[in-house]
Amino acid sequence: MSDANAPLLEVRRLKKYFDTPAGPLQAVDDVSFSIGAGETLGVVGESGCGKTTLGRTILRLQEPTDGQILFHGDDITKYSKRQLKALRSKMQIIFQDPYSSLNPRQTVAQAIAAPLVLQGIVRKGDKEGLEKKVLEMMDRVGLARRFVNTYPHELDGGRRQRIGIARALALDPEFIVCDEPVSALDVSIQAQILNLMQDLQEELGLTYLFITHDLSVVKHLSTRIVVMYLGQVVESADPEELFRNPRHPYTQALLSAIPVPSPDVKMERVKLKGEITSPVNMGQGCRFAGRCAYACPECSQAQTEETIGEGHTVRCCRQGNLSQNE
Amino acid sequence: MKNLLEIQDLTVRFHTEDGTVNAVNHVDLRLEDGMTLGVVGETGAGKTTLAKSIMRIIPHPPGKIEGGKIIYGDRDLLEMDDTEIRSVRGKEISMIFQDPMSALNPVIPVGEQIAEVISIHENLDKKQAYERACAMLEMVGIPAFRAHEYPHQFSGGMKQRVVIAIALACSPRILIADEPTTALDVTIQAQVLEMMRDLKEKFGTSILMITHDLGVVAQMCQKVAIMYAGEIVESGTVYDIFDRTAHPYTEGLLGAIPKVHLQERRLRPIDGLMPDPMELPAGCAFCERCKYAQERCSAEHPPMVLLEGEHYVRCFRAEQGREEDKA
Repeated sequence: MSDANAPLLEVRRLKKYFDTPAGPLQAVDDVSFSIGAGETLGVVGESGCGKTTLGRTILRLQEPTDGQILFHGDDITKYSKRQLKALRSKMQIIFQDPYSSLNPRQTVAQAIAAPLVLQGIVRKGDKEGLEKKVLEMMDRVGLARRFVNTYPHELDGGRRQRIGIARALALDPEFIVCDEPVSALDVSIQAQILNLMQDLQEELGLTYLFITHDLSVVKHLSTRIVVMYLGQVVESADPEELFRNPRHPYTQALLSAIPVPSPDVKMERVKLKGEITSPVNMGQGCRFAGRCAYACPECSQAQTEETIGEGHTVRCCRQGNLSQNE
Repeated sequence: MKNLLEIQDLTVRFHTEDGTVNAVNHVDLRLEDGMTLGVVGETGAGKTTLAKSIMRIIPHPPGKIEGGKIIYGDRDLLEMDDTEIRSVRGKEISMIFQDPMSALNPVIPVGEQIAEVISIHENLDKKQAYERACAMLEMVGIPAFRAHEYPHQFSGGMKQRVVIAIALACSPRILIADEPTTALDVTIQAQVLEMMRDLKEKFGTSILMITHDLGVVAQMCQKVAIMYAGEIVESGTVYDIFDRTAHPYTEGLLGAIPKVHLQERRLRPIDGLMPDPMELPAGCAFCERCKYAQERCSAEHPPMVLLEGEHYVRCFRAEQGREEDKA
């Protein structure tokens, strides 16, 4: 942590391929980005674009095929099992579905205590120490103390997600992968959880990788957004810039597809042909070309990420110049 | 405008071993001819139960329609015998379900599944019905040569198109869409919504759209009803609901969603949870979470009050506001 400007996490040309009978499935292909301490990087994309695989690979819950993951400048892809275990307390994850990510046979107290015991922060026999820490975590995430001995099935989705957050926070991490933490929740509860996550970030200086398909949520929370399509980052920028000036045809289509919650704002949709294709054996060219209204012969070549403005990159041979062929 | 469907004082309860669930409580609702009516509410508000009551597909037991009328044309759907209601289902009123993955039969080709509803309701032989099914597939944007394929060979968005093709196969007057795009990605959702809008124009179908997504409501519906704990708390035109919001719950919902078209630092969540439908409070169902709640709210149940035009709200504040205006 010598250099104050060094990013907390840097991902360089990360790849995660899965072998399938039809060929390699390129779930994450050549993804690079960095996140500064205290920032939130929003990762958006539709189902199957590789965003969950990206989050899991960064934590080495899945082994990367290629590339580097630098945490405080240290490449964690080379970490041994023992080093990884120590790292787990610094990097945590909050899962999408609070219904299936909690053990139904563990009480709230047991669920929150488990990581503390596992990491040796509190000794297993130290009942008082454990209880103190568990209650402290429950207070922190706004879970009333009376729920300490209840089971997950007795609680609603919002409260369950608070347990998930308490578990992730129990080890005092610096970095948290949030994998669609609010998509299973109702809107009024979703806002409670989003505000809680914002408060915790400010209070504890947390850094988030926030994975979601919900563009309104990502705009609300992120300091920077990357848009993924079939395993690749197609565009990245800060939220204002991305929403005001989207330059990749996919980003444009994605943004114009959001139903705006106001009858006075009429949607003008950028039409998109067909649906997302399979990420198996995709070849060199642009992965979006088949659905793109601006496709041209150059699209069959490999596309590179180009910077087109301050902190704004786009992976498209037109580099945001979309005036032709309209 | 003519009322195509009118629900009057509908009450549906589920009698379970643990107690009685008051799923739908004295709901009044009108669907006008050619309109899209959005019914909005969160999980457990009773939206799906309301929809299933219209189709008369509430599982009984434990569910029971305990009171009210559902008037379609000059008939009460709740009075019809099984044969009569079967001639209405799929022909006059049809329904699309939330999850297209489980709404289709996995072992029957999609073309046959569409043809089934056609051959039940129309006087056509098997071949003619299958031809109509292929035409329906084309209409929802799926090439007819895929009619012999099975559901698993289609993507989520296409499966939902097949479900819509089944629902529209007999040109029903009313389409009930229960969260039709919730399981779909946003670009696919936009495609499906646009298709529904086009088909509605083409066939003059009226739509009852059940959703929790206020964005979908704002873009699709002319009329809106907000549901909370089994009752309608506010209803009116889409402009009434979004621009002249009257009920604290509607206000809460609108404050709780992150808005892409506006810049805000912080969301305003609604504190607390929806009351347990087994133990509904005597007063206003929302009063525990309401920032404007007064003593009266927990003791008395607020009636539905007409504000202006067709904008109704179930809240004492609105009633007071009106009396003050008069004075």
